[in-house]
Amino acid sequence: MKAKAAVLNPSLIVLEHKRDAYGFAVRPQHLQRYREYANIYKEEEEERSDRWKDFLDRQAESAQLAVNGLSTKEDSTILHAETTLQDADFSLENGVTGDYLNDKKGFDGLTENVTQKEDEPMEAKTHRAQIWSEIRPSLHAIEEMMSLRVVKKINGMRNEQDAGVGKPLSSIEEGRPAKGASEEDSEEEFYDVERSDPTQDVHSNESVTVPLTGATVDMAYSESLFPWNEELECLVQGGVPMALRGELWQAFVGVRARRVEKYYQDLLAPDSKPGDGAEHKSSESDIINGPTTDFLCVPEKWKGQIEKDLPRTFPGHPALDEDGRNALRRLLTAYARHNPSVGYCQAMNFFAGLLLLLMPEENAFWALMGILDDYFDGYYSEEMIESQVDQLVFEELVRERFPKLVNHLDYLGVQVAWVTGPWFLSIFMNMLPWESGQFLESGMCFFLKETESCYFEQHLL
Amino acid sequence: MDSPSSQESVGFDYLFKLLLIGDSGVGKSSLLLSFTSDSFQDLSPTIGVDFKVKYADIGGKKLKLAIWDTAGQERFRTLTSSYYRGAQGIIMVYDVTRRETFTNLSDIWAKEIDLYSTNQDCIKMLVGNKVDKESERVVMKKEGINFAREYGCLFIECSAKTRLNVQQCFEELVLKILDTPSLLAEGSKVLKKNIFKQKPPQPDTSSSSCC
Repeated sequence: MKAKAAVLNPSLIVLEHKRDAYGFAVRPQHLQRYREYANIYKEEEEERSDRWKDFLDRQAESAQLAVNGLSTKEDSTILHAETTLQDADFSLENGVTGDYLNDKKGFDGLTENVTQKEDEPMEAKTHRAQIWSEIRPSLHAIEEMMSLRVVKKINGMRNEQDAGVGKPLSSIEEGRPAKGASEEDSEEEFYDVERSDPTQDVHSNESVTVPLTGATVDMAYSESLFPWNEELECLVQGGVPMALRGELWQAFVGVRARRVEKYYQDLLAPDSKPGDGAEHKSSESDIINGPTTDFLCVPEKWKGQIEKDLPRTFPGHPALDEDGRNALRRLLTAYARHNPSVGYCQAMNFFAGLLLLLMPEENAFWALMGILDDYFDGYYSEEMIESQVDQLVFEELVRERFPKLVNHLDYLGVQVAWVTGPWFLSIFMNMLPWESGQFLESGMCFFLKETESCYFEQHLL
Repeated sequence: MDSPSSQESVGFDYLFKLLLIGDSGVGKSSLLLSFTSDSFQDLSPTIGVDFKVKYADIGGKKLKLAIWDTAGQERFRTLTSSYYRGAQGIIMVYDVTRRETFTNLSDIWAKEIDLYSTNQDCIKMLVGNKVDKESERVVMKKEGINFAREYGCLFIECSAKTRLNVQQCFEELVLKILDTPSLLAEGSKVLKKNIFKQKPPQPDTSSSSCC
């Protein structure tokens, strides 16, 4: 393991150019070109790093200023500001390196330096489980802003559920209750939480969101609270430095706000079904537990497909050794059980694999779930209906903007979707060099704008 | 680096569209790669569809083969059905070491062809892949032959890994297409369009192909 981590040290990689900074083998025919571009990538990466560092530094300062003028009601912000300042030794070099990469059972890819992670005061539970860790405090402000959407979604979902049309398992648990969560009823707790009053949240890290968790989130308020929203959007469009990528993605998806203790472990408990005891619940929770109880009766037919695809996910990548594949299997299995209407669809293995390269296993689960449940709802289900809709919309857009191209394709008898469908389905992975940076974030802008239109915008050449 | 093939691309007598179908993991993409670039490597699963172009001299004709490679996972079938349109040859691939990939051909894939293929005369070919794993074989050659007889298609066993019979597989299919006048006419129609029409036809409505 340690040896592998060394192999993945980027400085070595840069010397050899056999693998890119993400540990992917550079194809022999591209080696020459990769050598030519390696320095450009490096320069761009440094520029990106500087921009982000500058942004985060300024954010820390303004947070401090804001705190001084705030009422006690928002002392939670003070808490936050403190942690931000404590993070002053922010260093991109420490970036992706979490403890999890050195000793966790999952991937050991992407270890930059085997540095010791600083003790972060707000992270009491970091070391409790190797497969879960929190992101650096300096990103908490972004995380909080993005979590507002998560909260809004919960509220929306709660309303829908009241109307009886809720999508059952979109697991948002903003208000993690303080009540003793025993192991067996964590499922139940989970569902209770969705209906519970979020203001009972006592988790100090999340308390900034408390005033905002009313029936609707006042966006004007959130804009005044996050005046840097626009700048952040520009930064994202310019790409995210590799060292920050995993954690920023988590912040954007609102991983911490989504996380339910033990949910991931319960999904994976060897013979347990995640709906244990669900049968005994009231009719209301039966509605909520719909898919979960379905899962009890339906054989896990996606199992074979996952097995087939494990060795076919980033074949040859050093992080996908036996441990890596096991982690990927757990991640995909957990998601399939979490959302049986989707189960497992090819292409999910790619971004699940990528998430595992960038973050600890359980973080990867919540990130995967956030991305798939919120932004690709209906995309990977049996019917793949949303995927088809997107392709028709995209074709119309291409027709409008690039009539010549479409005429030619028509002439060849080729539909636009034949070419672009796979791009969208794999969220543009495997399409562009990993280090070009921007493409990985193409999806991230819709976390910001809450619309898929920019997904199209970005990819209209 | 691609210059050898691009030189060949200047002229060809016929353009044929071939389609690869079959269960996930039977080796469709590997078979295609083995044919188009004489190599074998670990591949990622195909998402949706992929295609490769190969120029070949078969039966004394210069051919341009556009070979479409489809995803095997069940749910992708809703997307892949449209790829059948206009194919002159369809290759059904199974894995000789996994019986269900063979039985699914009659249960599923042959029906897909009936449903979606637009061409009555389109040539079908049954291919049993992975014969390099002879010790793990569970589908006998005889069974393949019987299937081919029943469905009226060509049959060959091959290995994308060792490249055994890979060239033959595509050659036999193409020879049969060349033997079929209606398909031949289609293959050259496109060509004539290419040569004689300066501009591609302007579509009158936004999309006539969406139904």
